[in-house]
Amino acid sequence: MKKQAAIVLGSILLLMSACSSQPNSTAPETASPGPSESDSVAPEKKIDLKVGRYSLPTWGYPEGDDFANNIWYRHYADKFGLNVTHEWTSLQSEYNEKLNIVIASGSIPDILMEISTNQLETLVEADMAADLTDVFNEHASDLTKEILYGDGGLGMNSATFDGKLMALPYMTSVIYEPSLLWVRQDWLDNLNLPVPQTIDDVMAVAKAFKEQDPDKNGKNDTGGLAFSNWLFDGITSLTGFFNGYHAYPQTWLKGDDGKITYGSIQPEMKNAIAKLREMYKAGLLDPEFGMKDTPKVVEEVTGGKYGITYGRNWNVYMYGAGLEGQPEMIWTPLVAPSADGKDVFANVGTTVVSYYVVNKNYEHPEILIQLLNEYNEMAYGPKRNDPEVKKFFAFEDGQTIVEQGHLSLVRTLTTDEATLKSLEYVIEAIEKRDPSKLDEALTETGKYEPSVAYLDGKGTGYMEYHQVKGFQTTIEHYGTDRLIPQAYSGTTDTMRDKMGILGDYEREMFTKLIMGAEPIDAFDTFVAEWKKQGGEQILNEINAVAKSN
Amino acid sequence: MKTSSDTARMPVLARLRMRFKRELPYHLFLIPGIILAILFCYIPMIGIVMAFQKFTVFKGWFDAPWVGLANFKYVISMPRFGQVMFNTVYISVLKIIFSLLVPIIVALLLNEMRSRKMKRVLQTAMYLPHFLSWIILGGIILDILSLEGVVNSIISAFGGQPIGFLSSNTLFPGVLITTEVWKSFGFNTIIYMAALTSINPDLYEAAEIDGASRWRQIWHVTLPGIRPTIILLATLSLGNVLNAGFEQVFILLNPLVMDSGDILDTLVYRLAFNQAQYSVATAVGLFKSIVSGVLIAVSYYLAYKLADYRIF
Amino acid sequence: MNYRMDGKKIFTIFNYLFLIVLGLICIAPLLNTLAISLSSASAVAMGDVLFFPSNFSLDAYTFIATRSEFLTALNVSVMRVIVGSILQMLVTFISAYPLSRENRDFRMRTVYVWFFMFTILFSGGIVPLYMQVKTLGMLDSMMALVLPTSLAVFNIVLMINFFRILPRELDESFRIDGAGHWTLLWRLYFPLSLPAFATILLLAMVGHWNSWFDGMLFMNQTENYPIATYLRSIIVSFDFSNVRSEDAALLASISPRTTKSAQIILATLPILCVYPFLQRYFVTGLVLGSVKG
Repeated sequence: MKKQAAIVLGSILLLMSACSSQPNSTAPETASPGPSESDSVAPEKKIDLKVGRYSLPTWGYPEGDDFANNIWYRHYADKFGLNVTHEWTSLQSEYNEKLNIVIASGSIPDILMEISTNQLETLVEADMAADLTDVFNEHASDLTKEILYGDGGLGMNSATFDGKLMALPYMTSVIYEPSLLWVRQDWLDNLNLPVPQTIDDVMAVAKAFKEQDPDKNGKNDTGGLAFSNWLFDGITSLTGFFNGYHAYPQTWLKGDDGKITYGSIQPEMKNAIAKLREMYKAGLLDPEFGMKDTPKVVEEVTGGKYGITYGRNWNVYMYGAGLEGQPEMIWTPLVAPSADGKDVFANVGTTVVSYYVVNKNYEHPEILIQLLNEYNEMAYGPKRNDPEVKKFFAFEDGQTIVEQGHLSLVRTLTTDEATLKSLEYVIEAIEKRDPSKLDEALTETGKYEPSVAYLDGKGTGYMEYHQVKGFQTTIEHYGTDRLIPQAYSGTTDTMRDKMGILGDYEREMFTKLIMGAEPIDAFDTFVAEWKKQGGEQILNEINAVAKSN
Repeated sequence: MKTSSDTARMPVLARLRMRFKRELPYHLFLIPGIILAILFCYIPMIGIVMAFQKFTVFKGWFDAPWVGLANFKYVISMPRFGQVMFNTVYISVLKIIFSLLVPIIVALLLNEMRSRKMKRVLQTAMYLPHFLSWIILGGIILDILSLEGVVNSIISAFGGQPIGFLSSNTLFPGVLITTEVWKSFGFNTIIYMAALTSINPDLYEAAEIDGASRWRQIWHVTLPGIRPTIILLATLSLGNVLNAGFEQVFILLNPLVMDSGDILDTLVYRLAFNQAQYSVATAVGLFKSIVSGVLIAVSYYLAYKLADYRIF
Repeated sequence: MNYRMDGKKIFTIFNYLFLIVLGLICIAPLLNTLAISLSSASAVAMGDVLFFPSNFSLDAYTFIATRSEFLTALNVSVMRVIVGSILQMLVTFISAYPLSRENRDFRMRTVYVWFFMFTILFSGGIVPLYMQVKTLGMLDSMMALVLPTSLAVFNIVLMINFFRILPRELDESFRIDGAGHWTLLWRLYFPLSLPAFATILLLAMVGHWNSWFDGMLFMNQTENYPIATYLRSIIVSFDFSNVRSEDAALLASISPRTTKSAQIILATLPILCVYPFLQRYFVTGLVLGSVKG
């Protein structure tokens, strides 16, 4: 897998150097010499494309544009003669529910965007999705293939049913996902404490933050370690804590024997839970954490109640609102401290975020592939730094830069290796205050200017800068080789029926165990019950599938 | 009586025709309602077949694989199903009782108020919580009842120990019932207030002349006057005996009170976790419908037999 | 006698006190929301705000003023309440009239009543309803919001019971004058049942204002969302487990609780104003007045 990724990276770099030697004045509106050019239909022939998609209330548009009339759609019309109409739209929070109903009613738009594994499987089972095998082979550009196969084919495999490609995966880089330890540096400094390096340090810092008035306001209004009742959320999470014990909750793990097993039922979990019990007893956890969901805990962290919490690189975005009241707030991201001094690995999700599916009855399934080619070409291709192309991803609205890359119908992220390399360029550029190498990066280049502005004490780049710090920690300590991805990403029959119940049972038991409402040995009962109530069956099904692949 | 000697002598057919002619306007009045009911209720009811199918995607109502009672068995086979059913009925019955009693009492008390202005202001205030969804109220309730919340501050001020209202299995159902009643009583009070206005003031005058005290007036005039409304609302709310309030419970439920707070709807939600399991949801819905239907029919019959009152 | 008067006084004082406290408890959440909407975001995050604004700021409201979606949604809701309530009241009124007759006057009555009751007991669920509305070509139109809701059986049943309280003699006297059913309905039933009518109208309006699910289900374009649907999508918490790094920045700009609270306040105010207005009709003794007159 690593080897393949290296090849991909190599070829992307090759592409990049090839581009920089070219005069790059041709705007994408005029025929661009990309791999997709030969595919493009003459604009005279209009093709209708009906889609259902979501929007967020915070999306911005340039003057005169709106959701249904944006720069991307106009470009599609020019280049492919494509007439995009929104068969339906919804806000992001309702998208999944609306999609379920639309799918169940049996009539879907021409292209379904960003659908879940379950929805994909339903569509395939109901014979509503188009077979993309041939059109993909015929139309996919090299760049598209490189990105989609960038994870060694796991993502494409998950979109393949009986040897037929039924969907295109929306790839992501899992290196965004390790759960880091975030500590308030200003509080550490106030108390003259070093950054925590072991789990015992974490406990000591939590204790100091709780008891020694780290914000120096003379009030006993701070708490210990913050996390939400989801336990293993993206932010305000416990995932990093468990990783410190080499436990990987809610992850399908490949065992030493090659068989897939479930992270939450491994014996390492028990050790981590035992430590949390100790912390709970010492008053270092919120006595009512079981009642507080992520937004609630985020609010408390933002309000200055907590200074130590685990979360992904982007968690400071959520705490930013508190800056106004506590301008001295500085966070330091750290690798999740280890319980025994051994290296810490991070469990991460799958490389696929969601899928794109074409309606079986749509006459132009190749459109989906062409649109993805086009996106990749513009986002990651040689001309990505052309101002004409950059317009598609962001525009200036007065002082602020507003993103609009999400308006593209089809998107994907780059591979881990490419993301990693890009992050290194960005970090280096910020360190040296030299944006010249930024052009080589494929993604995250937007972090440069705000971060530099923040470091210079002007501008609002607080959050961007902190995220870059998070990137740095991730790269230094996890890279791509200390990640444990999900060993299985599909849905089996029993999983569909039982996983919701099992997940809730798990959360209930872990909560009770941490709070001491059950003896620690009840963990073993949990493991047995989990298996009995369908977990064993699910593992058998997963292993059967894994074997057949 | 209606059967006057004239109509009695008429031939049956003519009598029927006359009755039809007399009743025809009534039928005509009902046409819009009937059309709406057929379009938006009866035709979609075909979907109930999903309860007996393994439905994923619509291909025709009778083309999904038939599974008999498998969907029902699946729900019943869930661990703790018995406890969940108990919680559902326990919470909803208490909610029904208090949601009936509290508005009556408040309506009577409001009715005792002389100041019409005050009455209006209070009534407006009381129906405010009705407008806030559980998503908003849930957050506020969590704040108020938390260990550091207002209620516990008051308890501590009086020297008591802070109480974990939302983490105690003994207190949690009480929290659900209290907050539900608090949210809805103002609105039901309005219905009773409207019913109170229809009581003939002559009756009070007569009672006053007889020297009946205010309590006796309430007992002998007011309550009988609004009895039909009470019976009606009681009967209709019986239909909710398996609806313990999904949104509210879902928002306040947490792992520590699963034993006392998990209800049928939250269980189904977890079964259909992130997943469009319409068959299971329909099966549970059908089960709930049948239970409600039976309860409503029985109470309709009882009200008719015992109180000689046709509810609807 | 003296003793009784004292008891009455004590009762009155306690009654006032009790009801005022009850009223305050009911205002509390909205007051809290209002206070949050008028505070600065950081003060809210610090947990400083309970019932009084801290760091008074109108930022949240000025922010909303710049968002056209909010006003569009408000507009859809107002339209929906007007059209929907009128339709629903009309159907409720003309359906309740025949159903409030005695069985001997209208033999099919019981059949019809159960025909309607059946619809509140049994339902096929959301998918068949969605498909039916789609078949009727009403997706994305105001029709989908106002037609299915115009048959409100619960309200019809309430209305039947209010009609039945009206004195039968009035009915008969009108009939003797040779008045038709329409005359009877509009000249006698409508004015006499005004308090009930106002109550049910309030139920109808509030129902339309608050209903969010059908907006999400039937409206194909977010521009057509009524305010309740729009509001819910703003308030509902995000599934943080699914947030991608690239979207985090977008989410960060949504989160201020002040903005959410301001939208709740703005979306609740219009319907709150309806109640005092309708309350004028909840006047005691109306029935008696017309009987005497």
